[in-house]
Amino acid sequence: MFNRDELNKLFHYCLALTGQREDAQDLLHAALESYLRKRPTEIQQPLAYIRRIARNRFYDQLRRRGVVQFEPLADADLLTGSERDLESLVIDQLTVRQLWQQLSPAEREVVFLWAVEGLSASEIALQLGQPRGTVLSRLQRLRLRLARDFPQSMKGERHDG
Amino acid sequence: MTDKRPLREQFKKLLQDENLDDRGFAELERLMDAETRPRKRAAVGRHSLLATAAVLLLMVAGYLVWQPSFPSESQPGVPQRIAEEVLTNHIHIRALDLETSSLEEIRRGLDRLDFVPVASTGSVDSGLRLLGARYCTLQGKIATQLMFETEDGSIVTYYQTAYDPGRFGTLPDIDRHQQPLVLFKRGIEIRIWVEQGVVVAQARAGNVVS
Repeated sequence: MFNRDELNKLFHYCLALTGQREDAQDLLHAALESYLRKRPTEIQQPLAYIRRIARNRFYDQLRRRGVVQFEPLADADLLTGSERDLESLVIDQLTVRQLWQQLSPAEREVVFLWAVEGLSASEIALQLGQPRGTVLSRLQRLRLRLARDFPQSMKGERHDG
Repeated sequence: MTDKRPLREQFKKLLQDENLDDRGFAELERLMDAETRPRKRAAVGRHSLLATAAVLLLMVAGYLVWQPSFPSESQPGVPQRIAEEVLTNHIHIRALDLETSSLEEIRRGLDRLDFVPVASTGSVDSGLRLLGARYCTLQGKIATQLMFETEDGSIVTYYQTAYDPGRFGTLPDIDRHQQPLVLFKRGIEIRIWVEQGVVVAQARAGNVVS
């Protein structure tokens, strides 16, 4: 039904949401089980549908646990930038691993769609049903975190490729 | 020592390097198999009760084994989260940033650490041979993984990071003669303690007589 490659793609998405391997495996298991129980025949893209199940399930769990994600209001300065500002940044593996651990689930989800799926801010906004400004703000906040928490990593190289 | 790449590429690599392990994939395959064979499900109904009872018994036994040997003053879930990270790093061995048998060389070479790696009590005079070290993270803090080899060739890994009680909660301090937390996960024994102001986590195959 789904091969290993397809399951890994779903796993990567669940990992982006949960941030932890075991939680990601549990979430994927639950989402796949939910899909297999219903097996709606009208679904043309089952992988996208399972991702939606996983996403809804994950945020439902956060709400039930009373975990409220407060995000700063979109800063006007952040909105003047674009994802191209991030394209020019070059960093090392260790820094990106440390940065990843700092991100909220919403930020990780945006990073996943931007980095792994290769979507633009507009496309991410469409997929998540959020304003483009919110998505841009989350992406730009990466740049600010890097400058604030890992200033050494921002020195030197910039990628113009 | 660590290569620089565009941010987007690094995030993509970070995620795509983490794949389902064989166990996780097998579980999903079994799920797909079970859910797409409805006729078989009716036939195994009687046997499933016994199987469920056996699984529950194993889970209870596993839970009892899992109990840390230290009073729960640590933040709930922190030792388990440390153990999970350590287990992942122990199973998915990555290339060393520095290959050396000298701890002093590691202290000089890994200059991005915000602490000094300790000659941990568990590794000194225990027949372990130091192979090298690499950077890693532990609960978001910069850390180092020290890799050792036993006399019979099996790998023991140590993880060290600066101890921050606010992040890690209360952990046993062997300098105050407290016993390490001991956890078992997927055949790996994981010990966690604080030593000289450094959080130390050790991972080795279980059933090893030391």
